[in-house]
Amino acid sequence: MKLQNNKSKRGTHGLSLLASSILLVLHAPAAHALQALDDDALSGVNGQDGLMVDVQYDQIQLDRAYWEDRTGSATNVDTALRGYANNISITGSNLGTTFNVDVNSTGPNQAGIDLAVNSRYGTIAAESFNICDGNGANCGASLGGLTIQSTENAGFALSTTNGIFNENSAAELTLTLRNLNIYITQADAAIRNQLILKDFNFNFFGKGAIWVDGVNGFQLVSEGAGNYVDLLRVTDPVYAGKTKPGLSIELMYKGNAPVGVFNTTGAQGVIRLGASGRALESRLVFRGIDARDATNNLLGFSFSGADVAGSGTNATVMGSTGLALRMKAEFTNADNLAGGDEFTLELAHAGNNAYGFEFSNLKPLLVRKIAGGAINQDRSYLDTGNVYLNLANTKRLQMPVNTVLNSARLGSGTITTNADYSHLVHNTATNPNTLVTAVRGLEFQAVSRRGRFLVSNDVLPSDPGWIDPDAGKNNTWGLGLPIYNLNTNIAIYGTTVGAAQRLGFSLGLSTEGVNSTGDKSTSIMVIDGAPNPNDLSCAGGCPTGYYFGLRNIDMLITAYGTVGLESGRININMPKLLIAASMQVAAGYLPGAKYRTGNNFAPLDNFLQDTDVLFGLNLKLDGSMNLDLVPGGNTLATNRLGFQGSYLLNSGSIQIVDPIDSSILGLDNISGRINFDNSIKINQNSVDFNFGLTFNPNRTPTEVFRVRDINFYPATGAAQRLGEMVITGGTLNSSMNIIPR
Amino acid sequence: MKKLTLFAALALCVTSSQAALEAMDNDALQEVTGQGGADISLQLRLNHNTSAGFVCANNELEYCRMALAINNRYADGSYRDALGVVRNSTGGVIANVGRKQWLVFKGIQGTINIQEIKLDGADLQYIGKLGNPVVKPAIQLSFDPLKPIQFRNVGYQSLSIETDTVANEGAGNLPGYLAKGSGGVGATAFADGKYTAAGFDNGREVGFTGLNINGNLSVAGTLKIFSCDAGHPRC
Repeated sequence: MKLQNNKSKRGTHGLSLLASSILLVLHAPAAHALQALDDDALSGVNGQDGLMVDVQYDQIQLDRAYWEDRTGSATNVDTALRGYANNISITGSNLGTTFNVDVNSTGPNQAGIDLAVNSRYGTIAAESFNICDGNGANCGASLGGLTIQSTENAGFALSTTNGIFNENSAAELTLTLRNLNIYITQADAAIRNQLILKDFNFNFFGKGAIWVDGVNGFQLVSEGAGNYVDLLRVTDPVYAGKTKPGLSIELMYKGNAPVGVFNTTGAQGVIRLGASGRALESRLVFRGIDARDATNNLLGFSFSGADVAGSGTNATVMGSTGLALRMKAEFTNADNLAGGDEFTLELAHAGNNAYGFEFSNLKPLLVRKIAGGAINQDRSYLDTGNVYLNLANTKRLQMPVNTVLNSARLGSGTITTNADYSHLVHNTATNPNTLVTAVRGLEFQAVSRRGRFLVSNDVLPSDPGWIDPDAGKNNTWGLGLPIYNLNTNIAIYGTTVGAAQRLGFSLGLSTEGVNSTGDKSTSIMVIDGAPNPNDLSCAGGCPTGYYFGLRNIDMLITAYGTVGLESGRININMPKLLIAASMQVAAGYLPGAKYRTGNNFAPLDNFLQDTDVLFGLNLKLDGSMNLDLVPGGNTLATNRLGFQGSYLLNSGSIQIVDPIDSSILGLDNISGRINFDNSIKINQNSVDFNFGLTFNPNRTPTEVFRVRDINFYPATGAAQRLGEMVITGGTLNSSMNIIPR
Repeated sequence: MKKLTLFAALALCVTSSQAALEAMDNDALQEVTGQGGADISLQLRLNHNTSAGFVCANNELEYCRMALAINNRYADGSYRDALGVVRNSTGGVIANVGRKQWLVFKGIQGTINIQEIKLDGADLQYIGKLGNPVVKPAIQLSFDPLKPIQFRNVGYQSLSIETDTVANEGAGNLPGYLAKGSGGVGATAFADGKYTAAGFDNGREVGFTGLNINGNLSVAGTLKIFSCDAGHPRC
């Protein structure tokens, strides 16, 4: 059956975005009368036990589509807000969707379904997004425009063995989004600046079960023997024989694009992230929530524009409706592939002529779980914790309080107090309606035991600077970036500065240093993992587990401000930025690792002990920052990521802490302005970190860099003042190059 | 109170570099540990361009200084006692402290180029507090004597003690660290913070000494850095 539609449709639908898109696909009335098939035609029909529907259309246009969410307010009234997408269009040639449905039977009283959907969707564009009241009026400024451009069809396939949503029925799910270009556009008068996700991939295959639970909502579970999830690498559409990661996010910047023109020509690379390979024991849960719970109030009470907190059941920021999801997956590693490709992560410069890193052999922090016992065979994992999505109207959001920072000494007080955890969303008299994404309890407990360098597919073997795609697979250096109990609040809203659209934002981010048993940590460590001839639990010697870096990082960052695409760079202006952190600079063996000398093993709770700690480092930096992310150039020599800006520090403190008796040398009460021009550049076999600092760039007495109190804190008792220090101005440049071996 | 362990926890083992270099045999190569480390190079430039030249503008030299004020150093001898009470030089209670005194490093600058450090993990063995042998993981920094650490124009042009112009940093104070005064007679005459008399220091900022280090520091051997815990005899 083939349906054709030569008309474009325009109207307003009060539906969720998802429902709208599904309906749009089906909304294709017949333009031709149905005719009886004759015998010849019937004999030509294939797949006679299934159903195939092909929908075609020339164009679809929709004025507005919205998502409604009920939110609490400072006046204790549960109120509806709507997030609108405006002027949505689907354009292109040969648009349409093919549905293939087949019913199968795998046993008595069992009937499953094979559903395959293949969508030819061309270009989907929404001119603007904004957040409005429950009547669709009083809308905020646009958050920007969104355009999704496909070069390949999107595919969705679901195969079940017993029913469609059955907890006990094996199912397979395929989702292929390959080589999309996604454009986020900001207007500045007649200029259009774009942030582009180039060649975005989400190429997913999963085996497991899919069902809907009355309490926990939609569940996609791939657990137990035989079940797995693959992020399959995608064939590069340009460079034959090469691939890109199964999940690929390549951020590019394009300035001054003509209105309505969407292509990646002239775009400059910002950063590329990728993930590929097999994951096990995965679970995705997606549900709606009612957060009218004043006693377990995750984001706190809504604050009025005058900064007065509401109270009562209907005053919670999240309100009576909202969305929540949680995802968990365990990564395969070089010693445990589970029949698939090893799970790898990529971090690279974006665009052409781009170097990068691949992180693989992802292992848990503990080398052994029993002192002197067998090597730990657990897999490393990502657990997103609970992710909440809400529309909100509040001046403040609440973060979970970090007790380590709340008890770390600073002057006569502590680094943070409870007040620091209630962070501002904006600093004007009227609350904008915002979209709030909150994460509670994210864990990424993985230590990469092998890192290697990559280069983008456009660099050929004949080019100088090429890297063999298989080079470095025996490297023994690694990087550990485990994250424990990460919490974030991110609020966004549309705003304008002059004629320029900008994205207003507020950020709260915190991590916890280490858990009570010492097997989960937030750290940044380099790992020296050459084979240890003294540890023969593995063939050829287990990797030595030397680590060096910052471990047990307790951190709180709060900020508000605006983000704009302007003048060839991504500008982030933060009138308020607070960074508070407590961490340890440490070197030693990973927990459970056998020493290279003698029969000692590092204690399993090594990260709870202070025997590896060189010194503790406490920070509190409170000020304002104007930060530009500068995209890289288009050659191997110039493709880098730059950070330029100006930091006005109102109140800062940097302290070095004795790990044994907690006496402190503190540079406290720091103020002044510092301009910075920093960059990170990944090369063929090394990394450059370049810093350029200018103290007191305006050469004014009020902005000299001044440490008003150099304090010495005894193990107990108040700070003793040693004196103070001033740097009146000048420049400090640093170039560091690191070549891993 | 225990000593801060920060830099006390260093063990410097400098091997003799007089012996001729010899080829390593296979056995010796196998003893090389920590092959998963990193080679680091680091160049630091304070108020210098890439050829170690001073970059501060001659008419704004006061914005290329570093200054220290020691706690309770005021021109009139006043001080804050342990309870925070302000007293004059004879111990009488007064309202405010006097003019703050600063030790000012003028024209501070320098380029330090560390051409290569090899960073590895290593096991360090020492005899512990109880006489027991201790194996301790450590950061091992190795240097190549043929790639010395280069010091270029490291130091400061003038060091002087300068005083605020207003007591207790009151209104209208010109802080000592920005001092740019005039005065002196004859050979020590100065104006706009610089000596005006003919001589070696003509045009230099006022002060009583300067420091300028140029040289190469060649290090052969390794530096091991480890956490000095309670089991170490010195900690």
